[in-house]
Order: sequence, then structure tokens, then C-alpha cells
Amino acid sequence: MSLHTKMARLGDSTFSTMEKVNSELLAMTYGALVTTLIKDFQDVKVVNTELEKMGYNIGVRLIDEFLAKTGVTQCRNLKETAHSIAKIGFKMFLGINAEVTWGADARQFSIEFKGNPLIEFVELPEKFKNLDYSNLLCGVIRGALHMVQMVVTTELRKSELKGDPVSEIYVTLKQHLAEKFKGEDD
Amino acid sequence: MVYIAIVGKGDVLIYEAKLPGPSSGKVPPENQLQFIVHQALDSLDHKTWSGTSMYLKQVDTFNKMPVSAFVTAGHIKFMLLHSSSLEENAIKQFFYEVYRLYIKVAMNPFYLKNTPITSSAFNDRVRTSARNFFMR
Repeated sequence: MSLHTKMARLGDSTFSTMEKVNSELLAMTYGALVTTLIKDFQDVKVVNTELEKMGYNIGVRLIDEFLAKTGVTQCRNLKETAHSIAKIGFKMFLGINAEVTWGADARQFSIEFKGNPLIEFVELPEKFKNLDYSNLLCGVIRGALHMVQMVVTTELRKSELKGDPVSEIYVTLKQHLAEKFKGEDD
Repeated sequence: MVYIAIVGKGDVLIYEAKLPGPSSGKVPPENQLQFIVHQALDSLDHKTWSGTSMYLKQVDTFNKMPVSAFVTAGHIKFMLLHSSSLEENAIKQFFYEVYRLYIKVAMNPFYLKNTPITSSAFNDRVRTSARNFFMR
């Protein structure tokens, strides 16, 4: 059984054991959050940044739940990391199947997915066409990877809300961090 | 030709459209359509509380053209000005379909209640269901 099939199976089985919440409730809560942010900040660019920051804060905590529930061991290379996020992470937390496509070089990849539960019922009005509605997810990925010593930048490249057939998050690895330990002889 | 108007709380017009449908003789001019429908609002309000169903059938008549209405639980009123040759069953099913479409618009976090519906998807789907139910 290939590693990717194993990951997909793990994603499915973890998803079935997770506690679930009504997807409409989730979608409406997220929608209320985004519209409140827009009302508070007025500027779409600032809202995008705020959503990413919130996602980052979620991600740094979510990684622990991910590792605890799935029991996956350390990924040997970036390809495994990418597939863990897409096949296991997206499946167990959002219930959707995501695909990995590799980017321009070995340090970039994109995660493509359809059927994002956060955008259920949403139609972007013309004045917010530059809003990255699902930017929270980009932050989650960045936060989670930061906790496993990888600094990445994420970008919401395509969105079903803007008319694209799939949504796409583009991830670029900037650097690996060395584990820092506090000096014992202070 | 069939004319639909969606009226919200405080008699605010949210949506209106001229839809494909069977014609009967004289069609009122464009600028009168809104007035005709608003005229029917009083008898609509009266009929709302007379029963428990959302579909109110015919609430008023103008020059032999009946005005049928449907009131949602949130008191959003769908009103239809049509010819008397239109079947009640078709109108009822059409209203329920518009109700479903309206719910989808209302669930959009960017849509404020009681504001005009500008979604082109909603417009297209209303026209399609009018074609399905009224042009048989």
C-alpha cells in the first residue's frame, strides 16, 4: 500500500472518530466573523491579514490535536508534509478531500480542494472581490507548520467564490528552524 | 407576462421582475405594476392572520388580473400579478421554489435582511423556475 493511500485511509478513519458540528452552523459563524471584520476594518487588505493572523493562532494549537489524534510520525521530506496536510489534515478537520500538486521548485506546492464547508451559501459582492474569504485556512497551515519548525508563506491563489473551479492554497517553504533549547547553565 | 415582487418588512421592495408566463389581454404599463402590487398589501396583511398556511392564494384583483401572495415565516411577502388562466398549483409550486431560492440568498453572510436582492444567480434561477412552472 503506497504511503499516500495509507494517509488517505488514516484521514478517513480519523475523520470518522472526530466530534462533529453542524456544517451550516460553522459556515454561518465564519460568515458572521468575516462580515464583522469587514465592518470593523473597512479595508479588504486588512481583513485578509487579520483572517490570516487568526488562522495562525488556530494553527499553532491545531497541530497538537492533529498529531495526537492521528499519531503520525515525523515526515521525512516536504512531499510527505504536503500530503499529510492534504490527505489527513483537510479530511479530518474539514471533511473534504484535497489534492497536492507540486510547484515550480522543490520548496513549493499547492493544495487544491473543492467543497469548502466555510463558503457554503456565500456569494461575494462586487465591492469585496479582492477578499480572500478562506484566508483563515492559509493561516492555519502556516501556524501548524511553524510549530514543527518550518517557516512557510501561504497564499490563497484560487477560490471557488471568485469563479475558479477549485480552491487553491499555495505553500512556499522559506526555511527550516533548528530546535532551540534554553541554555542550562544560566 | 407575470410580474413578481418581493416585499420585506416595512413594505420595502426587495426584488421585482417581469417573468415569462401566459398573457391575458391588457397588460398594465410598467410603472403601474409596483403600485398595483402595493395596493394589494392591505388585504394581504389581513389574510395573513386568517389562516396558518404560507400560501395565501389570491388576495386582490386588478382589472380582472388576480394578485396571489405567499408570506414567509419572517414576513417577507412574495406577490405575483398574473392572468386568471394560471393554475393555482403552478403558482403554489412556483412560490415554494422562490422560497427555497430566497432562503439561499438570506443565508449569505454578505446579504443584509430587507435590502434589495442583487444576486444574478437568484435572478436567473427565478426566471428559470417561472419558465418551468408557467410555460407548459
